[in-house]
Amino acid sequence: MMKKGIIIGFVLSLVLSLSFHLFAAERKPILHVQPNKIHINAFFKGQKIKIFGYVPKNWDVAIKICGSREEVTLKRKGKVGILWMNVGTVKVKNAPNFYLIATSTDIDKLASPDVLKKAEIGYDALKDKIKFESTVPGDKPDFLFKQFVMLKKKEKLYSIHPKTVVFEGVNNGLKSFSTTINVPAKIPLGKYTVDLYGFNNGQLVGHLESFFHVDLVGFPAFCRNLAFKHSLLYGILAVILAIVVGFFMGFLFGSKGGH
Amino acid sequence: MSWWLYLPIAGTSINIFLLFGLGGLVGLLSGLFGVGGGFLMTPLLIMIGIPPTVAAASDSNQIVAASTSGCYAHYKLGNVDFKMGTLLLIGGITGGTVGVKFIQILRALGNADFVIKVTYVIMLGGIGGYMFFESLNSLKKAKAPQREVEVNTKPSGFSRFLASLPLQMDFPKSGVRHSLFLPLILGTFVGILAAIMGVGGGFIMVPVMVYLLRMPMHVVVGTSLFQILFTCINVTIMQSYMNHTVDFILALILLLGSTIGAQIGARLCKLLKGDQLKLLLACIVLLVMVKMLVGLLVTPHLLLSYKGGH
Repeated sequence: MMKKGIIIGFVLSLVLSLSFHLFAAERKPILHVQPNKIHINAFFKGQKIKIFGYVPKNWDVAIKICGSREEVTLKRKGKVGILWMNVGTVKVKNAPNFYLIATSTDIDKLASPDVLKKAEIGYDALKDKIKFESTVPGDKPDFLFKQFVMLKKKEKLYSIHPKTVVFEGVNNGLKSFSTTINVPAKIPLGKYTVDLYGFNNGQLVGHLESFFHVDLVGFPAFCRNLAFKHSLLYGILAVILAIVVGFFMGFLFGSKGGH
Repeated sequence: MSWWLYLPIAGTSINIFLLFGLGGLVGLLSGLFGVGGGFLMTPLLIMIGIPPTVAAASDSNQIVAASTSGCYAHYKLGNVDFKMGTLLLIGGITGGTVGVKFIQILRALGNADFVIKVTYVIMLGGIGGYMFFESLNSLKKAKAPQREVEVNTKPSGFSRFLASLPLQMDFPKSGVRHSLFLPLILGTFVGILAAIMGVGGGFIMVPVMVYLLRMPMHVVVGTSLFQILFTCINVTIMQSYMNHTVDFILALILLLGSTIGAQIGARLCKLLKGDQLKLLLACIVLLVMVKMLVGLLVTPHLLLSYKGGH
């Protein structure tokens, strides 16, 4: 009887402690990215990814997706007399090749500019991290940054989506959030970091991090591999195939035309 | 089934029909006038979101197919002067090499872009304007044939100079007699200009063959395509090897359209008179010139852009 009591007591405490652990785990904020691998195949034309999870019920959130940082050299147009033409180059350093912000409220309501700057949320915050070197005398960083963002926006590689993170039911002090991101077809290959910043009363109170990868698969992967690793062979094959198709069309039309 | 294709080198995806249609249009011009069409295709590709370097290199791959198709069609119609074409090609390759060196020197001196663009506009305007009025005049004269004979029998100082050059030989296909050096020198000249302007050179080569080598317009078109074919084979292989900028998937869809367009163009070419062809080509050359001029005068929306392209 005593033995039975001990066993029941042990099982009960086990169940209790397990449920306590489960409960505790549920109370922790969580960030999910789905899918966390984007496969670019021959028919890829962009994709949606879902970002969701749980955060404390008093948080406002900003989600930042960043690609790798790189150095690019751009052509700079300017006026010579009455004519517009390329007058120099601009080296852009430390700019992410992809930058996306999605927030649950307007960016300026999240926190002060200084706090946002630390988390690199918003174009004003990004501006200080990017360095410009222009060969055109008198070029101001502000002007170059504005032009650079316009160029990236046109390619859909830089974007800000305020109020697109939505909250749903509250449970155990946590609320669920979700947002859907459109990944453009032009997204560069590589690893992307997904950062979630939590704000409360203008203070940065939490940070979660996740990742996703963009890879080529199938025929595009084969093609790119050939083009970069066996470039001479690729060039010769491209020429031979073009000539074969050209002759084939000539033959096809020639026989129909009766010449 | 998705009608979008991912282009692995360009790194973006494009609607198949759009590319096919673009290819068809440019192929038509190629078969009709003997121009490669790079002047038209490369800016259009950049406009639909292809990176400039990839647009220019993949276009040259596409032109290989279109000019094979067009050249084959013109060969069957008896419009290719291989002897003249080969001499021009040798000159063109020499000129291209010289031109690339020249542009490096120009860039080092600074403001190369200004020189190039202004040369381009003046050349296009000059060639287009001359062709336009010359062909318009001949079309008018064709209605009054007795006057035309009078004009044609008068040998000019230029023809006397050409006849005095050494190593004269016959080019039976074109029905002309020239010194061996003339196509070589002219080919070199076009090659230099083409390299400086970053274009294939069909635009300059066609008027040179018509006005300086006095070849009949239909043979000019076929022979120009023969020349363009080899120039673009060279460019495609070099770009693939050195810069990895040839997107074969992009080129493949374009060339399926352009090879069909080139066949239709070659047949249309046979239907039109030489002067009508010249007049049409002159209009297109002038349009390109106007487009360039507008680009130079109108304040651009963006002052930063990616490198490459024409």
